[in-house]
Amino acid sequence: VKLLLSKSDIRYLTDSFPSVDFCLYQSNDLDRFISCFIATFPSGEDYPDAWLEITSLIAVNFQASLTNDHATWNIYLALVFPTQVSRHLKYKIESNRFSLRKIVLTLTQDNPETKDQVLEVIENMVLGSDLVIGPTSAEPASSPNSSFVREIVSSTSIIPADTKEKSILERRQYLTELLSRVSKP
Amino acid sequence: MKIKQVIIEGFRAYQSKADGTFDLTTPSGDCADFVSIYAPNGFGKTSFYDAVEWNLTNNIGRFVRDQTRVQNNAISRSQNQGGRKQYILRNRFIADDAPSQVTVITDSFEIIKKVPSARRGSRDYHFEKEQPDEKTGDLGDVFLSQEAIDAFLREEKPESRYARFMASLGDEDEVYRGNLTTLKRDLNNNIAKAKEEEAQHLKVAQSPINPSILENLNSTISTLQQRSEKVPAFGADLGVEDVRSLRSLITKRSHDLGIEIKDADSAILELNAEVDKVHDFSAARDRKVLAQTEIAELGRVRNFVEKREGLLRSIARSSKTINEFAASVSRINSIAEYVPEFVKFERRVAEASALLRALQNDLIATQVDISSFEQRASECRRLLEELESNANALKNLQRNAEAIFQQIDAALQQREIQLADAATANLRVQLLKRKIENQEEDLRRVEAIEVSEDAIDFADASALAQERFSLVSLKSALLEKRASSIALQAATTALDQVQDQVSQFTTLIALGTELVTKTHSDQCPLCSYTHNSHSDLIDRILDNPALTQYEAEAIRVKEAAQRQHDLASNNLVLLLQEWGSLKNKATLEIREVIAADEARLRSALKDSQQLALQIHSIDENIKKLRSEVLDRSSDQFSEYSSLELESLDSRRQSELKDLESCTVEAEARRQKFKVDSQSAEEIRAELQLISGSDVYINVKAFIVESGTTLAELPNFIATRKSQLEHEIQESRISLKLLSSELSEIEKHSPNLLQLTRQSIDDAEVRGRASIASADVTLMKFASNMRRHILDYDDQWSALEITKRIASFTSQTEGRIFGLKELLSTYSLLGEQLKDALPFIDSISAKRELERVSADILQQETLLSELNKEYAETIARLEQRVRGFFYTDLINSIYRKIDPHPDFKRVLFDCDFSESDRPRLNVLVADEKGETISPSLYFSAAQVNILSLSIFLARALHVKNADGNTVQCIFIDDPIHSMDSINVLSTIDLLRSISRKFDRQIILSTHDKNFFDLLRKKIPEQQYSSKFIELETFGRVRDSEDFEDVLDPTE
Repeated sequence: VKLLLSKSDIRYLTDSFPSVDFCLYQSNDLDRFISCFIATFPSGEDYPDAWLEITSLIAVNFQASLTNDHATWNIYLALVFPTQVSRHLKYKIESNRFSLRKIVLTLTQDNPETKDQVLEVIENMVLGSDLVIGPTSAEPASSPNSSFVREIVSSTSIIPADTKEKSILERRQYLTELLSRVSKP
Repeated sequence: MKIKQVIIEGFRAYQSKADGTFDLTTPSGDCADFVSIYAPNGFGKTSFYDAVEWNLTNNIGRFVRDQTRVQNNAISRSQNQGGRKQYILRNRFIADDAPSQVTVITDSFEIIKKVPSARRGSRDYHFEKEQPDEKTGDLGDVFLSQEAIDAFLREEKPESRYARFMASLGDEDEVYRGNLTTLKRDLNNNIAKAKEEEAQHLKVAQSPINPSILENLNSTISTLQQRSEKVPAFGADLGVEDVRSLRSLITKRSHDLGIEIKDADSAILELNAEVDKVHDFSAARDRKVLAQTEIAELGRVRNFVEKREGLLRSIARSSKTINEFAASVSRINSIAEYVPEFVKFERRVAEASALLRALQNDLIATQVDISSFEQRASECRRLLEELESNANALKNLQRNAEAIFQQIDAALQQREIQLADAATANLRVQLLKRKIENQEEDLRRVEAIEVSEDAIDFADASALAQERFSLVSLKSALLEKRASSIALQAATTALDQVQDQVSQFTTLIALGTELVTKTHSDQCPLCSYTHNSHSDLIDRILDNPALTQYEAEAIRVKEAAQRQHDLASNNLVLLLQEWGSLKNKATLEIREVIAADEARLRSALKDSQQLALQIHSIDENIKKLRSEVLDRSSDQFSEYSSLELESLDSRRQSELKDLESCTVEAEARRQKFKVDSQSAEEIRAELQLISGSDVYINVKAFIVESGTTLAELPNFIATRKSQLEHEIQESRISLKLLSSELSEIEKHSPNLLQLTRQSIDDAEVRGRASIASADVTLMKFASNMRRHILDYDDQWSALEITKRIASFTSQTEGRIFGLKELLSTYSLLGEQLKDALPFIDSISAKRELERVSADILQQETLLSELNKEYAETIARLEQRVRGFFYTDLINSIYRKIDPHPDFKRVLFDCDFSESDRPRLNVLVADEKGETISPSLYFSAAQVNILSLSIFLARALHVKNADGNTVQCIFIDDPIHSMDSINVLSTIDLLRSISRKFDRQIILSTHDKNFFDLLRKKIPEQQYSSKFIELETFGRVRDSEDFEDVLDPTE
């Protein structure tokens, strides 16, 4: 699924907020129709309540006209700010459940410099485009370097570390063998 | 692998199969990709997860987690009561024989797992970690339980996490690291000890020493060597061991020399003491010789006494034998006189015994006869009583028979009536059943009618015919709505065209205005009409109302069409509602009729059953009455009873005759028995008298002793008497010879007649005691002499002995002087050796110092090698830990839920502290790279989300035994501590995971809003999802129809 730029009329937004840059992206999967509005603000917190008004406009002018239940319940609004907004405002916006899910992005924080990059962030968050199941990489990258220590010290059986006489003797034998490989001054 | 169906019976919260069947398929029969299970807390969500996990992994992860397994086990044990079964898995409310099992059906296999039965006083689950089945592989990581998520970061210690991670990895690098740590620790300890030793040696090596000590020692040793002592001289390299060896030699030689001197002194003293005892030794030797002579004489006397005593004993034995033979001759004579009388007694005894045996046989036979006649008489009496009783019973039955036959007739009549009633009741039941079937068919038809706009044309109107409802108005309303839709569409198209024209006209006006303004003309460029002025023309152009009117008209037309369309739509909706309510009304009415008929049917069935019971009861009664009159008719019974009474009387007469005959016979035999008994007693008395007489007893005993018979007795007596008289004669001759031998020996030694054997023994004992006493004195002296004078001889005289002792004393005193000189020299050497110790220690310390320093250097070189190896190994392990935890995926998931405003990056860090166990820390980092431990700084909800991210990432990587990806993930109530922000993003995340990776997510929630939100965001049709609700404790709701309650704007 990809989000594509829609040609639908969104003048009800641009007319009300001329300084905010709006665009609407919609999914290419008509069965699972998703709409995502991106509102890019020119400055940080100049419009503390704009997000709510924008949401209302979308609800009245766009959401109400949708007949498909799935489409109605899958509208997103990304609010993009050039500077970091206060964590309080971010929380307030994103936790608001009126009409649609809102996502706050900051150019500096999430570093989306172009619209494409903003869109990529949105796709990651809404469609999970960045989720990747990789092969388990716990296997060692290469074989360990060979050394006289590795030749003598076992990497398969555990050398006992307790204080039993037998264990102490075993450790002493290991150390004696290792020392025999180190030249005496 | 995806799950199709889960059937839980008698397990945890679920009782029956009907209540615990979870169908996880879509209407098309495929496995649902997203399943949500809603229920309030306690209804059985967790039981569902427990059941599936137990079935697929053999474990219930939340019970056997490392941190709580022991505690759970202890709690379970403490509640275990003796004699009772404790159910952990099995539902506690089902019957003992009810099944307790879980069935999981996947798209590739089916597993049925039965709960093991608990013994009395034991449990059905023992909180032990079980191995997974080979078939499935370890699927534990696809179960995300609340408890495990909650506990992951808060409870588990970083040390345990590291150990668990390494245990699952089972890798050589970790073993190698552990071994290096162990060896490094030992090596460090060794180096520390060696350094301590080095310091001590250095201290000793630096102490001052006396250089001439070695020369002094060797001078003393030389003196000893000249006296043949084996003492080695010291070289320049003398060591502690040489000193220790010499000191041991000095001690031993000093001790030996001391003992030698002491022994010599003791010998001189002992021999000088023996000089005084020489006289005693000589006297004892004389006593011994005298006693030996006396003992030799006593042997001769003992021979005489023993021979005389033997002759006296032989004479006495011969006299006794002669007396015994004479007594035997006397007894034989008396027996010979008794014989004629004994013969008579024997004949009488034989006759009487034969008579007695015959009488006893007669008595037994008579007794048997008496008993037989008495038994027969008793049998006759019993039969007579029985015949009497039967006759009385038959007479009673004869009297009652008429009444019983009347009762049978009455019962038969009543049975006929009841049979008729039962037939009627059955007919009524059949009718009611048929009626209910017809009504149910009606109901199905009515319910099948679809009340919607699209279905009107296909509706089966006949089903509602009874309701007198016409489809005509509905269909006309539909046609009207369709017409208004077309009109609305036309009006909309017209309006769009007008609006397009308005746009073009506006352009035209703008261009016209621009032109007129440029030319400043007062003439219209379109119609060439000349206006009053240029400004008038401009105003007319700008105020041109024509198209505005057209547009207004088009809008009005569209609005009218819209109103008409709305009206038609509303009308249609109203009619559909009316139609729907009519359908509901009809349904209700049919249901009411069915319910009433069903009540009547139940009543009719009850009546029918009641009648059947009554008929059965009547049949039983008739059967009982007929059996009383022996299943015969009235006439048959009358004839039968008369014949039977006559037969009974005849049998009674016959038995009476038998009884009388038996009584007479028995009495006759009793008289005979009495007479025979008296005769037998008299014969026994006669026999007793004969056997008690002296003649009979003596002769009988003689015959038995002699082993002969009565016939041979006279001959035997004559032979025996002759033998005895011959033997008496021979004994008398022998006696005479013995007496003459005794007189002969007594005449030659008259002085020895008084001696006895005892007096001779006493004299010998005394002689031997005297010899023994002399021997003690002689042996003790000889022993003392031989200890010191080796060539001593017992035959030496007293003078010789005294000379020899004086010579020995003189030699021994000279030897003692030499030994004392040697002892003194050894003592000097010991003293010199004490002064040599610091010298020796210093030499030794210098040598040891050199050795220990070299060892330390070698060990430090090895330690450096081990450290290098250790650093490489740690680097490899850290790299692998980071790789293993799918850090990128965890971060992708974590960022989507985004629980913390600052700390947005998750990382895994190993802390290889050498003094403690390694730790695996889960950390979060902020934008600046600063890291913190979430368990210390995050809220419970934030920690929970972080854990969920890690668990989800791990679950996405689980593979089964065949190495294929496991496509299902179970999440038990993931939002129980999230707020709304996380919930919305969590839904998007789960939906993305299910869709993108083709995973079947099976999720439960206690939150109805969340459940409804899931239905909206992940609807069934688009996402192949499924929504299941538990209607009460341990019961799945049948219907999947959910109330539509959510609105996004609310």
